[in-house]
Amino acid sequence: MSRTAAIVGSGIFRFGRHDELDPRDMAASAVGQALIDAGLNWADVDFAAGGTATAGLASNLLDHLGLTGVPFFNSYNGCATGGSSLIIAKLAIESGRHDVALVVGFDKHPRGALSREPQFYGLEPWYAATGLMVTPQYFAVKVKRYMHDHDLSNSSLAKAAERSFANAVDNENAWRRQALTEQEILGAMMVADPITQYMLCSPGVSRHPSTPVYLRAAEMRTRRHGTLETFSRSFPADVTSAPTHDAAAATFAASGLTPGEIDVVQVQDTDAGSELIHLAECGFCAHGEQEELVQTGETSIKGVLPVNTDGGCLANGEPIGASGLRQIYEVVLQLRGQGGVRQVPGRPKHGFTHVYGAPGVSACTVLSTEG
Amino acid sequence: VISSETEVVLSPIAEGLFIQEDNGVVRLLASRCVSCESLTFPTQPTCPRCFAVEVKTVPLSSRGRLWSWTVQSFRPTSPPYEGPAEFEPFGVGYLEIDGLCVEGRLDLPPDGQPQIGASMETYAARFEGAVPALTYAFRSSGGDA
Repeated sequence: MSRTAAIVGSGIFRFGRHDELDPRDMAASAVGQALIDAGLNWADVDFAAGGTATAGLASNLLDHLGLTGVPFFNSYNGCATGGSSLIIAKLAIESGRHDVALVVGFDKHPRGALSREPQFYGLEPWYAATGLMVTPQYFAVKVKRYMHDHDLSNSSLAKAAERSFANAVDNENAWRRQALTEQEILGAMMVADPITQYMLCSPGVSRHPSTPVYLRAAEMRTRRHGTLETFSRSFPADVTSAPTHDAAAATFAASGLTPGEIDVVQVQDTDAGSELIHLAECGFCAHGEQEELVQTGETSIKGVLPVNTDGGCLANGEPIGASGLRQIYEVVLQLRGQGGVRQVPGRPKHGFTHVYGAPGVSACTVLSTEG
Repeated sequence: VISSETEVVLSPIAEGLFIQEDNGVVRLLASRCVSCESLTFPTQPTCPRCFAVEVKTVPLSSRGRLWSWTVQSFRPTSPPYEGPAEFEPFGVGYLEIDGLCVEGRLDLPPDGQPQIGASMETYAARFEGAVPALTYAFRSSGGDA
């Protein structure tokens, strides 16, 4: 039973606005790459898990890939959908019941802020009707309080975004590939104070030799009573730990590694403030230390803690079903030493990914070149 | 309540969100768990902290302190948003009342920058939705909470 799941092939379709494309065609292209990368045929796949937010059932993809009768588990967990699918596949492999699993995520969203009927989240109509059910409000309110409590500056929010856009310039699969300065980011249209347009992701999957990257741990947690999350109508003022903290701690415990041993990091940067908060909640720094880390450039590719080396959600956009798996793709690339001009120096051995989604769910992984 | 011919008496946007006392003071209604005493707004039939099934509806204090805030700067997607087609940015924040942080619309000061910790009160605000109605909102109360 002590099998460790490994990622043996991966594929990606270029993130961006592809008005003319069926999202299933994009996903099928990425799956094809992953199969070639792994040296496998679709018929070899004996388990599948995947999810989308607005592109229908992920298993509709089977019409495009081939109707082999493979068990396909549809998963949906907001922006943590990709991480959730990965955990389902990991359990299937580790249990010994299955040997080759596909994990896939894809999406296609209309422009502007994502919107759902309030009933989808178990909320009353008045809440959405009066304009309170808007996700950027949550990110803005949370980071506003966090900046107040831990003395973080607007400049650090902008610098985190500036680094992500700089990283994406050399990522041919990214959506926004134009470098932006701190001043341009601060001066952009205000979406929800203090978050400007370029501090917020927009809703929006190469080939390499088969070197396994082991999935040392993957854990998911939902919100506990007492935390501020998306669509919290109320919460107790004595805040308990966030689902990101819980999921990250569980993932590190299962992996046998500590945050200090991680060489390359992906955290959910739905907005620039979320990146900074999530770095501390995942254990990579103390609350408030982000100011110095970001201001001194230590989260850049050549820094001590390289973060979102492919540009993160800010530069790639966030097609919900695909987004968490983009993080995995990037870390696999980095651990294989195939990051090209954005390769983290010094042969990184251990990587970490983190997603956070509405209404308060987080999934993390530790990936490693060592099983 | 007696209204003149030109004055329309507005209904609350939803039942059970708040009460308006005779002196005009507006108090939000929360559920208080009979076992662990934790408060939840809006009311719900079970306790989300300890899963007790016995809860009581209690009015919260009308005053609190601002926990955090932002400004909704673009018109939310409609539906489900029902505000006027001509959009005016509005404040959103959490007011800490009786140890509970409650989310709501927020009246912004002239400089648009309310202070975290500011004393505020709940009041009934006219909401120009598909059917005009009263919702609760937060505004500066000047004095201490």
